[in-house]
Amino acid sequence: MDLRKSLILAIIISSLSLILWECYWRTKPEYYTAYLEDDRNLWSEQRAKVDHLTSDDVILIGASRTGYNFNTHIWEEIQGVKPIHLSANGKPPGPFLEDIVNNTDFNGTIVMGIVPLMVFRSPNHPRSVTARQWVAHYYNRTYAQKLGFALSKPLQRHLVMLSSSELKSYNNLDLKSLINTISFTENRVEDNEFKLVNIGYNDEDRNLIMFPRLTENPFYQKEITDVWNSFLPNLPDYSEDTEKIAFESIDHLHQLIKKFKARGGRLVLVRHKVEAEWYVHSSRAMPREKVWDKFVDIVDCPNYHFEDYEFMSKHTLPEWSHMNAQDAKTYTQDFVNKLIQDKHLTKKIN
Amino acid sequence: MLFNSLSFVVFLILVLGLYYSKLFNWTNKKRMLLLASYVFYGLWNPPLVLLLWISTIVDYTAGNKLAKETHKSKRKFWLTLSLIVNLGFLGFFKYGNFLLENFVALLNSIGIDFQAQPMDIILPMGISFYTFQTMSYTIDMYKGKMKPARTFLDFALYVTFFPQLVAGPIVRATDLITQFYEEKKATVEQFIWGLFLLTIGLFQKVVLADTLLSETSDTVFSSNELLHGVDAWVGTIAFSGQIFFDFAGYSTCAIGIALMLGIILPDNFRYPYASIGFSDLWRRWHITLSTWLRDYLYIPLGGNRHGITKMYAALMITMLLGGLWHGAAWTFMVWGGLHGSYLILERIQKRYIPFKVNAYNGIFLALLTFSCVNITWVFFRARSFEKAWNMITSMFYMQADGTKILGTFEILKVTSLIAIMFLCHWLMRNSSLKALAKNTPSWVLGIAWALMFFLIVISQGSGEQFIYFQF
Repeated sequence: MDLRKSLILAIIISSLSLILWECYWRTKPEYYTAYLEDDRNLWSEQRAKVDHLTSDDVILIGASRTGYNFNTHIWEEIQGVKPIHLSANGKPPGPFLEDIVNNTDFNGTIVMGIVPLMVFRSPNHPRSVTARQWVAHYYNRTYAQKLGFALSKPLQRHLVMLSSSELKSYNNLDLKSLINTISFTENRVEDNEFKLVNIGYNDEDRNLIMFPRLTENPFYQKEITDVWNSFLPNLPDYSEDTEKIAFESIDHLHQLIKKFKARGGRLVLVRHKVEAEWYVHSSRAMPREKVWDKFVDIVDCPNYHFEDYEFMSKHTLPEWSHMNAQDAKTYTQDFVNKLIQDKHLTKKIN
Repeated sequence: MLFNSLSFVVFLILVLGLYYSKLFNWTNKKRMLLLASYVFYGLWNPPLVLLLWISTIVDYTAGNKLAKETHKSKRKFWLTLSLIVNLGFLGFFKYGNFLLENFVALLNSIGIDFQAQPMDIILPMGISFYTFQTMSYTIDMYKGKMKPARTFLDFALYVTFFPQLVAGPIVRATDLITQFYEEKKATVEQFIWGLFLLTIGLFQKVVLADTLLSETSDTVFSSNELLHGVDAWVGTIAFSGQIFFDFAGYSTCAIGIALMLGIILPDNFRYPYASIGFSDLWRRWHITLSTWLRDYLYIPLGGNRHGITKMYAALMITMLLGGLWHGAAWTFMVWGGLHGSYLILERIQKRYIPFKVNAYNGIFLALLTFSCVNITWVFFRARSFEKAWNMITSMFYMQADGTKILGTFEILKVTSLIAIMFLCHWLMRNSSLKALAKNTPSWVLGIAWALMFFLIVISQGSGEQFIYFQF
């Protein structure tokens, strides 16, 4: 055994393997790009800014629709204020609102995207638990974790092979995700896995940006709508149980909103557009008149539902749920102008 | 700081760069290592470095006093002070809430209505390891088994040496402090071998434990269903593999990093899943803890010097406390109790129905030992007795219609990996990695090394904490 020879050989082979691995994934630009992953570390960096905001500032919270549909750069161009994007893909905004209301003095404007199916449900749902874990991460992250994240940034920005999200997208490139794509046709348990491939990426201000492939190509659109079709019809109809859970959740949000408004904060509620099966099944599972309308009455905040405004419903959603990058810019522009017109925001530039 | 993190890679490169630069003499290199160790620990939670300092100052002082003091009662005082401080830290930080909960439960059980607010106590990382390590120093000093550390710097570095600070190996003062007396520098061969060990350790942790096994074990142990027997067994063997690769991975990293600095740490694992019987297991699993418990608990309790009954009692007490060392919960006590029972049963078997182990029955006995160990892991991993009992019920097919939650591929993945692990342990049980490497052509070793490194990188470990950090 000659350890030096082994080491040299190991360096050569592993370097070549990693270069080939990276090159291979770069041949699939429709699915993969190198970017700083939107995880709990990046969220925490944005969250840290909240402690220094004034009453003129704006925070965006919500799930993926708020992330894809609002673009903070356009927002800044129109209003002169750059919002802090604290929305989180696949997570309800409740825990984030709770954090801002209970743990900060922020008394500016919060724009909160509402996906009824996600917001008006049990606080113990795994997605709510994950959202609370993100909040906890902000408070508990160690110096070692902060340093590790800072060091990982240049690598994430330049290496496609590091594409991997906490959301466990079906096409993540970490070894565990790649192995988990293997399954047998004769499986002993029913395969209910949510196999959604990543539909976009994010910039470092946490704006989500849809991959261009979805804008035009029906093949890629179908790849996503097939997944929606696999679970949306299974959503339960609106029932007494749904109502009970929804109103417990509304009551909790109401208490938070009252507290926030009492210190001068302003909250604007947004129901972003959905289409096709998303519209059909979410309306069936949580009808607008039974939940949204009652919610906005109770909390008494300015609110914008896509069915009520032409500028909110004029765009076509490639996969029924989120806007493409170009439409998101127009939508943000229209939305900010509307908020200024309705005097919910003040323009800070001429 | 975690070994499986980018920040550690940068940290290690900096430390090695400074260590092998000509900037410092040996004393200053030790100072640099000490400072680096505090940074390594403090980047997790800076105020808790204070505990390390207190432990260091108290035990260094106690050691020096014990070296000079001849008066028996004064010697006892210094030993007691050291034990109170170390066990006090352990008791407060690790067992504070557990003791409070049980005190409240006791009062409630006798009809006294009393409720207490749980204490918001952070468990300092690695506290069980460094308190045991420093206690071994004062106990050995008390027994006159060793000389005191030559300098405060040597002792502080012994307590804080970053490769083994948070999860062992638990090194005796005689084995480590003396290495700090003379300048240490790894040979090229040692340095490369250390790097190889670091790669193997990370491969065990990042690829085998976190990527291939943890999800199955987490799925099974977090399920609230009464599971099908296959699922319960697969989840349990997945955990047995996960905890081995996680902990042995840490130890291998620690040994490798220390070796890159020219410091030799003792082995902590010797292919434990090929153990034939439980005495053999504890000579192979977490060796530095089991020898610590033997020398500082089992032997002082009487060991095998006062007859069979007392020996059994000493064994059981040692294993129960060993269980409690792992965590503040009754499930850990049961884990320790099961191991104590296995050890006692093994001694009874050897006394009344002895038989010879040979090449033919050996592997079956090893498999039987491994199966019994798996039953103990259920109590170690389950967060409640209810869950543990449900698992045991499922594993022994005591309920017919258990829920199936694991897919076919997942079962195949885990069983294949555990079977390979078991066979590797069996084939290696009387050998060592070093011996295997010596007989392996350089190109084969190079390819294996490259493959491990490649898999570590593409695993993109999310910096999962090592399981034993919580102990």
